[in-house]
Parts: sequence; structure tokens; C-alpha cells
Amino acid sequence: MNQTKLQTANVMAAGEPRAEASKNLPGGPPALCIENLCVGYKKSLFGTPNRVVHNLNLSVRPGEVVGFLGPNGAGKSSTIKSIMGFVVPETGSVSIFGHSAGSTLAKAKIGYLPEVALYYPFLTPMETLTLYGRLQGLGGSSLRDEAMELLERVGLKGKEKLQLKTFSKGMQQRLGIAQALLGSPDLLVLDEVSSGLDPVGRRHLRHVLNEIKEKGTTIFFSSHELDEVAQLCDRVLLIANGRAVDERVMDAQLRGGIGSALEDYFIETLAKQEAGTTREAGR
Amino acid sequence: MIVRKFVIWGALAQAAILEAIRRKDLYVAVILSVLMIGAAATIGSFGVKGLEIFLKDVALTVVNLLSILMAILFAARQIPEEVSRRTVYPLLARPIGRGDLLIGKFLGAFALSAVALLLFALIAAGALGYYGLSVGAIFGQYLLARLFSLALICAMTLMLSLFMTPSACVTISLLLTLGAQTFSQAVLLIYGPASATGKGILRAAYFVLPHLDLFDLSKKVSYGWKPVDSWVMGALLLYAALFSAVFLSIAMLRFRRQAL
Repeated sequence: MNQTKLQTANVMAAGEPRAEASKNLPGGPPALCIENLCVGYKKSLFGTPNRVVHNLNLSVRPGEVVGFLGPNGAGKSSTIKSIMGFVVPETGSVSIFGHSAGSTLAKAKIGYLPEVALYYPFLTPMETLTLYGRLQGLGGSSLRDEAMELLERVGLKGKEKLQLKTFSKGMQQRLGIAQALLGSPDLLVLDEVSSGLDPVGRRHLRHVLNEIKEKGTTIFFSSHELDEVAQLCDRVLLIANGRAVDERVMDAQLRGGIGSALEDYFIETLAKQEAGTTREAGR
Repeated sequence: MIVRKFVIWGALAQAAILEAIRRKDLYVAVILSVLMIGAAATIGSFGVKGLEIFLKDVALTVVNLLSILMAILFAARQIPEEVSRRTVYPLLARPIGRGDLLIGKFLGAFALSAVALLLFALIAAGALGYYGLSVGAIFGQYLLARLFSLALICAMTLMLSLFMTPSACVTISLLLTLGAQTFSQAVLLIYGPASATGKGILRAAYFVLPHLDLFDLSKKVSYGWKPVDSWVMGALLLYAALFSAVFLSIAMLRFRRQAL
């Protein structure tokens, strides 16, 4: 098991000196670098924030495909929101290709799929992609062509003139994937990527993501579908109760089919973490 | 850089307008205005002699009320709806700032309100014209002043929508907008007998709260006044621009670090 652990661990427990290591990755800045990230939400103006992410550190190399795993409420979405600049961290920093998270320079490099992808119900897919494209700095016939190509790629060809209020959840998710790919981003951040997709849609998505992976795009995604993760990822990071728990490089054993090694690894590691927490609390 | 900003604001405003048109919000308001102005205009069938001022007054009051209502309803839902529908995430994932989103939404709400005002004005002018009543040259200035006030109302409502629930925002905005004239008169009445502290508070409130009654030229239209001097319009524009800028700045300060 130790052989499969990444030698230069990018994810460690709080306080360990891994931030410097991640900064010195070969080939320029990491695609994504999180250092000592703490995220909390205040219930009232003067209340103490309820911390949901504790001293999280991780880094993702350019071209890597990393799965971000954890049970519900582990802090995955809050971490992803920090990457996108939607929440301001209490402490710590997040950078994308060396640019501070939330800055326009950082966002220009990211394609993002939110956890629950919902789009303007009264716009058509083409209008939606045109809106996002214009905000991205694209325009003219190149934007129209790219939007058409993306709609075809995600299986929405022929539906470009329908208003989104007529779309099913799965179709909205497909549109979400199309908008995330708009402008060929260097880093794709996908929150619950296969949410709402049927088996055909999942296979389609896997095919699209594999194509993107082959082009060298960095992908950082969270998913509860471990089969999805097993087939796509180079590495998985585990988070529980807002803390980094473990990381593994994917190998043949972990990829070994649905509901097998990766699922066992996921559940066993979390169980160990839970047992450790209970022991510490008992002392 | 400036061109890029205008492209961003234009794209956001265009999406807001397209959505409002497809939701048929404007159609409902137009039907309502036709009914209200039409009902008032039926009085004209008994002969309009002596009722000219009344008819003009009713028509312009309907235009005022409906345009204010539409502006508040359009502006109040822009940001909260983006957040509750989660459409704000893919928007802000683009290389734009939160300030750009606010300005784009403000422009969208203002453009919609302006279209609504022009439609209502057209209906009012049509109804009055049917009875041979003309509104005179000051009608153009009346519309311009209303446009300035709608910009201010949209900015104020957008700002309030970041501090309170949508229903509270609509209620407070309506109170502030429709109560503006009453407030001005009340301040003048109670200022004299008030204590020194009370006078200070009243003076502060008088200058902090926008005087939307300044933008209402409807009585001048009803009574057939000549157009006002252009410097008055310039001053109104400046007043509306100043208040709108202040409200949008407060909104930006609030929205800049708001967790989504």
C-alpha cells in the first residue's frame, strides 16, 4: 500500500511543511495550490464562524486529473467555492497557475461546473453559451461555432433553440459541462460532475473528460461516483470533517472495477479516520 | 479595457432583458395600464370639457405608479434570484468582477424600467390623444425626469436587495419611493417645533434620503406648464447620478465579500 502512496505527498495533515514542496514543482506554478486553507461561515454578523475546512493543503500539477473525495458535509464544496473565489477564506491562500483565487486572471484559466447546475430557464442553450462566452471575452462567429461544437459534444445537438425550462436535470448537467468547457480552460473544476446524469450520460461524460485529459487539461473534480473517479483520475485526495485525510495515486488495483478496491479504500480510510477521532475525543 | 467592461455589462443586461420579456412581466404591466388608463378615460365619453386636468392627472399617476412598481420588482429580484437559483456561480466563474455583475444587473433593470415607462407613456398619450387632449412639450421633460428617477430607484432597490429578503426589499423600496413626497412635507412641518437633536436627525434624514418627488413633473404636464429650464433637467440628472453612484458603491462594498 505504501508503494502506491505518493512520495512527495501533496496532501498532509495540518501544520506539516508541504506548502513549500508544492511551490517548487517543475514546469512553473502548480495548476492549483491550496495552503493552510480555513473556511468558516458566520451565522450572524457578530457570531463566531462555524469552521468547515481546517488547514487544508494540497496542490495539483498541470495536466493532472485529481479526484476530490469525501462524505457529505466533508468540506469539498466549500473548498471548491474557495478555489472559485465565492467564499473568502478565514486564513490561508488559494492560487491558480500562480494567480490568486477569485481574481479575473485566475478565473480566465478555469472552467467550472457547480454542484447543482441550474441555468436561466427562459434562455436557450445557445443563448446561455453566448452569454458565458461574451463574459469570457469570446465573441463573433468563433463563439457561435465553439458553442455549436460543444452542444454537439455533450449530446445537445438539435436542442439549441429550446428554452431551458423544458430541460431535464441531466440535460441541464450536460449544458453545465458545455459551459465549463467553453474557451478551452487550462483547469477544469467540477463539483459533483456526474450528478443527475443517466448511465448513457455518464459514459458520454467520461468520454468527453478523457478527451480533455488527453489534451493535457488539468482536472480537479469531486464526485460520489467512485467508478467515475477510478476510471479518470491520476490521483485521489480524501477529505473528512474539513481535514485532509489521505491521498493515493491511482493504480490498477484501485481501478479494479465498480464497487471494489476504490470503494473499499474510501470506506476503510474514513472508518479509520473516524475511529482515530473517537479515540482522541475519549482521551 | 473600457470596451471589455461595456461588453460584459451589455451581455448581463441583455440576458436580464431577454428573461423579463420571456417571463411576460412587461405584458402583464401593459395590460394593467391599458385597463387602468382606459377605465379613467371612459369618463371622457361624457365630454372632456372641464375634465382635461383630471384625465391627464389620472393617466400620469398610473404611468408613475406602474413604472415605479416595475422598476422595484425588476431590480429587487436581480441578485437574490441569481443566488437562489445558483445561476450566480457559472456567471462569477467567468473572468468578471462582482462589481461588473452588479452594474450589468443595474443596467438590465434600468433598461427594462425605461422600456416599461415608454410603453405606459405611449398608452397614456394615446388615450389622451383619443379625446383630443395634447400633453405639450413638457411631457418630454416629464419622461426624462422619470427616467432619471427610475435609475435612482433601481440602484436603491438593488442595494437594498443585498441587505434584506426580496419581499422586505420590495416593501421598503416602495415605502421610500412612494413616501418620498409625504416625507419631504412632513419634515418641513415638524422641523420648526423639533428639539435641537431632532432637527439634526431631520436634517440628516432630509439629505440622506433621496427626494424622488423632485423628479415628478406630472402636475406641470396636467396644468399645461411650459417646459422647465434645461439647467433644472441637468441638476436632476446630476442628483440622480450622484445618488445612484452612492447606492451602487454601497452595494458593491456589501457584495464584494459576501459568501455565495
